[in-house]
Amino acid sequence: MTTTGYALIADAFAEAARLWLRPGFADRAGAIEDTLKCSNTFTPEALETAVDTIMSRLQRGVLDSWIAGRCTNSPCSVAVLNAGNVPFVGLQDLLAVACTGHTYLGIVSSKSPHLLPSFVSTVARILPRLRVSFSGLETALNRCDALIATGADTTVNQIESAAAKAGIDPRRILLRGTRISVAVLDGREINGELDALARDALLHEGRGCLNVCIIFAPADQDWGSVLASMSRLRSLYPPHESTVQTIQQEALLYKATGQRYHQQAGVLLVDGEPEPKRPGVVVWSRYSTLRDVEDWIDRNADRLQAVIVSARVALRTGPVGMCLPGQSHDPPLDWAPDRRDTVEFLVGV
Amino acid sequence: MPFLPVEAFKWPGIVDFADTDAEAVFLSSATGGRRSRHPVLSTTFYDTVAAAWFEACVGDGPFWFVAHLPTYEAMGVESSLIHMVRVLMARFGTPESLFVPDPAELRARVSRSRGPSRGRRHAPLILFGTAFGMLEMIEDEPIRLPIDSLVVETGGMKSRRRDVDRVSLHRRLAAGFGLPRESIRSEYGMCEMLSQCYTLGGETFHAPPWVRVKVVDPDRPHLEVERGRPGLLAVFDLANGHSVSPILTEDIVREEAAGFEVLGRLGNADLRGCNFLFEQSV
Repeated sequence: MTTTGYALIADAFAEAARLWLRPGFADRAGAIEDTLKCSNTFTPEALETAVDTIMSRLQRGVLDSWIAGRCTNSPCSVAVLNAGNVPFVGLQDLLAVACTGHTYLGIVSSKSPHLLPSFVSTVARILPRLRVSFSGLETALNRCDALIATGADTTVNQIESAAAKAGIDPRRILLRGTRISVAVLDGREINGELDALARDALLHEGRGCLNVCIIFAPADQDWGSVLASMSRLRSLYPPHESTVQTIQQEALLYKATGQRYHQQAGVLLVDGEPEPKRPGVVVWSRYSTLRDVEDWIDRNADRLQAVIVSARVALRTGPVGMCLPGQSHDPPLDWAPDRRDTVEFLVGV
Repeated sequence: MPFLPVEAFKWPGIVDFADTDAEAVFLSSATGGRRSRHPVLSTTFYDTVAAAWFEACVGDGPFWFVAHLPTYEAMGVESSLIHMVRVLMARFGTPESLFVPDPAELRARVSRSRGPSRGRRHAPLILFGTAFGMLEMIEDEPIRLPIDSLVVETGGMKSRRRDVDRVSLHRRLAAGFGLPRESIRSEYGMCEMLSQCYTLGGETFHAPPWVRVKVVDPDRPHLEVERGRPGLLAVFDLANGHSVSPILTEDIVREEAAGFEVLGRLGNADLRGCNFLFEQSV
């Protein structure tokens, strides 16, 4: 793709994002309204926040730094299977495919089928020759040359066999597995940090690979201040009905099995081993030394997306990326999910 | 009706009798973390249940059972699978039925063999094994089993990070053992559920009449999914009468006309993540 071609696409996305920052913009308002009617766990407050955050980040300069001239010389059709657990979770892939010069064939989740197509229609009004379309899974697989997909580890083979059946070269498939994120406290956190951590754990109802599902805390740390932060977060972002039900059911289970937990409006924190619970439940896992946490991170590196920790904590996380509290739900555009650079992959296909 | 997540079996208090009254305690295989634990009040009852549905699905034998379940054998009496296979051997097996943990020995015993005879009657071979254990064995070198043999794969689909879909698994097992596809069966069981389900030559698992099966929304387990759509398997197992009958598994299944097809597993981490494929099964 030529530099001019890239510039036109990048400008169109940036301009569309500027329009989407207006709450009353018709495409945005309509997409949000339709999305909230779908069978998902989005709440109006979290959805509006997600759209604002994502669109404010999508600027021409940021795109330029991220893409950094990496455009393909051999454009092809790339199918992208978009998940629907978090608002606009597939936007980064859309931008990467379009800005590197490929044709995007999106498959949207029934949980969130409106946001991406509606945003694309805004972009397409600015740049009518934008090569982006949406279709069903089978159509996209039969029309594409490359594939980006995310699935649980047990379904990876299903994707591979479907792609093989459609004749897609395995070297042109980027698969992302199941990942979780955890936070590490050192007991010296101030309220601002704990409020930020509460956002990392509770926004989007515990969904997404960057959501904090386990909090490692010093063995003698009381969870009272974290609960207070979570309570404040819930006053701004009330829980989805399904989270309320999950919390009720899980709390009953913990009560029946004698596990230590704390339940309050929209929050369920359970004291226990560092294993993720159902979305909406956060595990409070106590450690004796940071070395213990480092060992755990080391053992679980292949299933970790990020470790959320304050800059002052001297924690070794190996290959797992670190993130400051409050930023896990707002990854930068150049973020590499599963530590694989999507743009690099697309330039190579 | 609320279904109890199988995770609850990792904690005490799920049975209505004292632990000291248990005739057996079944544990889940050790895959890291806390293990599930299911005390059983009466092994006689368990044995009757296991034998009755096996007989209904496979027959009353006599069969020459050969079991290749090395990781489960190491668990000994703690493994419900080993207990069940021993029961089946005792009820429906020839005296020559045995466990063979060593792949080389297994190959030598079952290859081209017609199996031991029982009087004038031929005893068909039933090879019980974990899916991946058997796959590894035949991918090194195929083993030709007697044509009237049955292969029952069990227990091993969740031991590997990468799964194989059941159609492909059955096809590879059939090719590797030199058998028709309908001679490859699967058993569905877990220590948290005292009944078992079997496939009957296809990929659909059939549950015994004392088990009711529902497919529920992973995000809202109190709601059933539309028929034909994937969801979590929830079972109501009357054999769990002294523990908890309604249990919610971590297996993603699709309801079929006469049972259910297992598509994979969905742990808590998967529920949180970007998991498109359970929404639209590929």
